[in-house]
Amino acid sequence: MSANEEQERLLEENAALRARVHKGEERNQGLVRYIREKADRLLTMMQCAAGNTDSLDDDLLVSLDPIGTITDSFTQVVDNLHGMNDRLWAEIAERSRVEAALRENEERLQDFFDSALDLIQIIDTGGRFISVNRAWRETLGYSTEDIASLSFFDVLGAASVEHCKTCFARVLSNEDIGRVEFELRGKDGRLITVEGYVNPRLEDGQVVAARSIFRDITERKKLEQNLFNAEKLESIGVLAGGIAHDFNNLLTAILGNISLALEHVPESGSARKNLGEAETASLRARDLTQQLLTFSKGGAPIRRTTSIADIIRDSARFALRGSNVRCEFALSDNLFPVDIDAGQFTQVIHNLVSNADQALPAGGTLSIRAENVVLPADHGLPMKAHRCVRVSVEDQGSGIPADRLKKIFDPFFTTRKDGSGLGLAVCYSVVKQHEGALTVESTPGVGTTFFIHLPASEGVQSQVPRSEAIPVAAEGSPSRRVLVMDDEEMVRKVAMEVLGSIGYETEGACDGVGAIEAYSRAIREGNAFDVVLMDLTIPGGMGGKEAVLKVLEINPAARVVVSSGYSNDPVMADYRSFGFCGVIAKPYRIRDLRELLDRVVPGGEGGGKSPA
Amino acid sequence: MEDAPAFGRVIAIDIRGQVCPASLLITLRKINEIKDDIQKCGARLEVLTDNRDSVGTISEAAFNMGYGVGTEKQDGHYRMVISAAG
Repeated sequence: MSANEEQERLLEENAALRARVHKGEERNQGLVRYIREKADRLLTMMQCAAGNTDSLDDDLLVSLDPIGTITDSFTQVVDNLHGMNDRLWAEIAERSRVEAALRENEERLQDFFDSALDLIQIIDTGGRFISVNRAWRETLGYSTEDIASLSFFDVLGAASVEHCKTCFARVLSNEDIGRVEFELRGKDGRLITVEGYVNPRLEDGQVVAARSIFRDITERKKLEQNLFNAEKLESIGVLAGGIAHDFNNLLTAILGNISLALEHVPESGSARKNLGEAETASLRARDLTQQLLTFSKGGAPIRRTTSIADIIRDSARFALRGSNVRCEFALSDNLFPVDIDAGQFTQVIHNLVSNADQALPAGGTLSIRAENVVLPADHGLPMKAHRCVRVSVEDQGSGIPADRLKKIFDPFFTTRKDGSGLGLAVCYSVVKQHEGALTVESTPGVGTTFFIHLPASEGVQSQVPRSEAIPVAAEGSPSRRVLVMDDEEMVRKVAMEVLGSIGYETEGACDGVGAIEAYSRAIREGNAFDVVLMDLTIPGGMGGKEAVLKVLEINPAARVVVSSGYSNDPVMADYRSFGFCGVIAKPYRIRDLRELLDRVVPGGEGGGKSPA
Repeated sequence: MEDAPAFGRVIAIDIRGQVCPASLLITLRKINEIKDDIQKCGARLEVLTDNRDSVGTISEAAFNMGYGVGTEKQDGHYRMVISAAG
């Protein structure tokens, strides 16, 4: 090969090489461009504000391996995002769990809040309700909707507003109110007495609300009032019991002296009328004493076999004096006699009639019936007897609703603001003590009827003379001897004088010891007493209860009558068990005494039996 | 410029004179290289840079990758410490 040819070949090869290099450079530049583009895109994906790769020359760009580096980093970004995602999910799960726990806790607290029997309320600083519990809503009768538009001061009883405003102001100045009592007014207007505590709720040291827990003490207050009434009554009872004895002794002397005076006043004299009125007034005073005792103690009845008709008539008329209510009587003529304490039944009829009178404020007619009934075996009344006298007191008033009817005989139950709640309770108690039954039937809008069922007496009705004539000893009949034991000289004196006026021989003793001595001496002297009249209570000395036993030791056939101003003493009700053969409550009239002595002293035969 | 990775040790790179994106790419490459040491062994990467923009981009990228970044300005440059997120 020639030199030219060689040169030519070399030139060609050189050209080919240059072309290949050029092509390679072109390819390299394409690759670098590719790397640059990818790197820029990856940097963008990395969300870095790192700018683009234009500032890097190709060699530096390639040496930094941007695709590999960013891809590796990107993998870590993705891993980190996954991790963050996992943590977020875990956080969401935890939050959900906490939320559920909070909700559960809130429900538990709400349940606790709502199941509390006390009234709980939260009010804002303007007095508007933020929250109240169920007991609060149910006690006062307001709904959740009502409460939204109410302020605490809207539900207060009028008498409590000022007091509560003062308390509220103290709470707003961050003071706890330890114990407060006031009245809330229910939606129906009913007043509810509550007591409780109020304290402020603070946020950043500022009072934002007042929290209160109240207890409904309406019933407790009522019971306290009842207890107070009962204690008051007890005091009246003690007082009445205390004065009754002395009062009755005084009345015995007054009545006895009036009786004696009447004996010496001519039938036509005007003084007779005055004395008669004095006697009537004294008897009224006696009844008043007895009412006080019955009212306060519900004393054991001192029974006598009697007809109830007169008591009904007199008591009803007395109760309706000045009233515009008319009373119609339908009393059977042949009513069974009943064993009753006339004083107590006077009060029963009086109370029932007064009650009916008040049920007829505009006037009207009251019907009182009395008839004999023989109850069937399954009569259902709380009493044993079947042969009864049934007394009914019927008014045509507004009637009594069923829920009140159940409570009508409860002590202290009253629908009248000034009522004691004792009237019907006393009636019930008295009838029950007579083994009878007091019941009531009422139809709202029609009227009310009270029924008294009283067992018929097995005994014979005593005939109480209604004449004012003073009986005297039958002429020619042997004189009978009575020993009068009473510590009160005026009572003893008048009793002896009265007995003398009706033909008895008398002797006095001022206590049990004196009476026993006189009784023994009389027997020794062959001049025994036919009857001994003993005072039950002798202050500081031997009274009738003890003395009668001593007298009966001396003479088991002795006839001893007990007399006392304490007419509700158990001995008076059950005198036979204590050894007495008769009883007479002070004060007594001549005819009461005479009738008793006629009954207990062997008629016409002077002198009791002496021991053999 | 490179220290051997070790538990709790500090590995330092000095990229003073570099600007983005080179500074970022150098730092990322180093993080990738020692990521296990940082994440599991408590190693820390200390980066010295005098480019203010790089502080922002490196911090952001490292944060996105799940690392904690602390930066302190020193005399004429910034000292960044990249560690496992606390």
